[in-house]
Amino acid sequence: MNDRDHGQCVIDETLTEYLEGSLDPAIKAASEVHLLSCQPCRGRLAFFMHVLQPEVDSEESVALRAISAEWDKRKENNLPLRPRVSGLFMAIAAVVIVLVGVSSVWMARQGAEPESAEEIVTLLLEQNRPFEARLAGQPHLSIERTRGTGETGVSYTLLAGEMTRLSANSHEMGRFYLLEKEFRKAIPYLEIAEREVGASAAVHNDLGVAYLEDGNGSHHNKAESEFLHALQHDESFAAAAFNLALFYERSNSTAQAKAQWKRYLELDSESDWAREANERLQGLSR
Amino acid sequence: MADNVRRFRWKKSGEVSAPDLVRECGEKLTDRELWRQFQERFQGLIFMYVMRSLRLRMIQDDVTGIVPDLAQEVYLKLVQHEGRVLRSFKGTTEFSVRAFLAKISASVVHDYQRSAGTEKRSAQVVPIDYMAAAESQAKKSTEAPEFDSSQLSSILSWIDMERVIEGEPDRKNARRNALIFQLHYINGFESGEIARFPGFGLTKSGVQAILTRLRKRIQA
Repeated sequence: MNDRDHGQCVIDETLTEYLEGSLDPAIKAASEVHLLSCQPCRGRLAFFMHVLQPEVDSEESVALRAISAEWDKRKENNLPLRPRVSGLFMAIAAVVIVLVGVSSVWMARQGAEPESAEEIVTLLLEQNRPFEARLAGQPHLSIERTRGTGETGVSYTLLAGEMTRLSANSHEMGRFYLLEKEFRKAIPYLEIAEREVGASAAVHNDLGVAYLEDGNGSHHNKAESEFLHALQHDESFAAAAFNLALFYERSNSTAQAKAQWKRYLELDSESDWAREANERLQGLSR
Repeated sequence: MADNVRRFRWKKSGEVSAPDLVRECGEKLTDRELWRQFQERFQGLIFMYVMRSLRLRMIQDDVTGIVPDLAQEVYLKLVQHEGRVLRSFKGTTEFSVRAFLAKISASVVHDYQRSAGTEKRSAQVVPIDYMAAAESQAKKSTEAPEFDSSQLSSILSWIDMERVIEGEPDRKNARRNALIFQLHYINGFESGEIARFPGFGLTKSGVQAILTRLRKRIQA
């Protein structure tokens, strides 16, 4: 019997449904025809039959007890994970771990689960730079232009629930949605924060970033106003100075952009942001 | 058959069914109580499936150290991308939940094997089905002491299974019966192990009767 004469190989789901007895009779019959002739597929069926055997032998029983003890030990002692778990997963883990009651294990590498909404935002900022403009308190990362938010592996819906649970304020929720590039959700939150008495330079800056980056022409000019507000509050607020220069650059106001990049470099000449500002200034001068 | 089905039920009375619990966890990713139940009911299974997958893939690493790590990755796989994997679960039986967790556990182990670069090592050893066959050859069949099963398993590779099927009086189940025959003599499963799967729809004695009948036909 030649397996090439007996249809396509059987996927894992069909194999387990065959074992369960839930396959449509026609698919069941076709699967049997294929399994009889295809040794690799029968090998995979055998694999699942071995894995799914309900009986646990004494050797397995001993091993399972040791595994459970190891799991509990890690839970109690905060022993670290192997470093294969990606940093981005930690953000998800931060939420889920608590839910499954194994937080100490999963969060071992992070040190502790996030205790505040701001901490979640900070974790996200450390992982991803979604656009050129600079949010308040954002560490410098190079922009990965080809990478969309959907490819980061972060479950924003899951984290949004956690932001609510941690009583995120309007500014924090706005920043969170901004990182997701959900401008339609971010802007209302940031506008609420901006209307609050004593709104900080950071709030004005972040609202300006939302206006600048959302691609809506009617918002574009509002961005300048917010960056200027931020600098009125705090003339050394580097993020707003950076963003104002970026705003002028995007508005094709080259002379203003060059002047603003120079002002930025007076505020910050050492950081990676300064290096980026310098590169932009040089680009405009060519 | 009824006996088989009963083996796969492990829900306590009053508890939400296993398929519903999986579905609810997929819908409510942040519900602590649901996840506590999930962990309580399925964590042992996840450990077992990961451990068995490691062994079947001939991964020699220390299981006590590695299984907890891989079990965490099973959880991560379940919840990432807003619980896409959990929400894809469509099963309705306790067995379907086991199969679902087994598939994910096996895939995590497969990823681990690839990332650890053990593929190369395991490629030099005997594949799973041959391993099982070797095991079955090593232990003399208790079901047919007069019969040299190792001899049969070696000749089954060239036996024309179509002829076996054509001569099978139970026309409706001829291919299933032939598959059972292969699973026993090539893959090394005992009749009781085969009968545990509801998909075959047979008791242990039913499997034994099929094996005896087909064996006699091949010997004739």
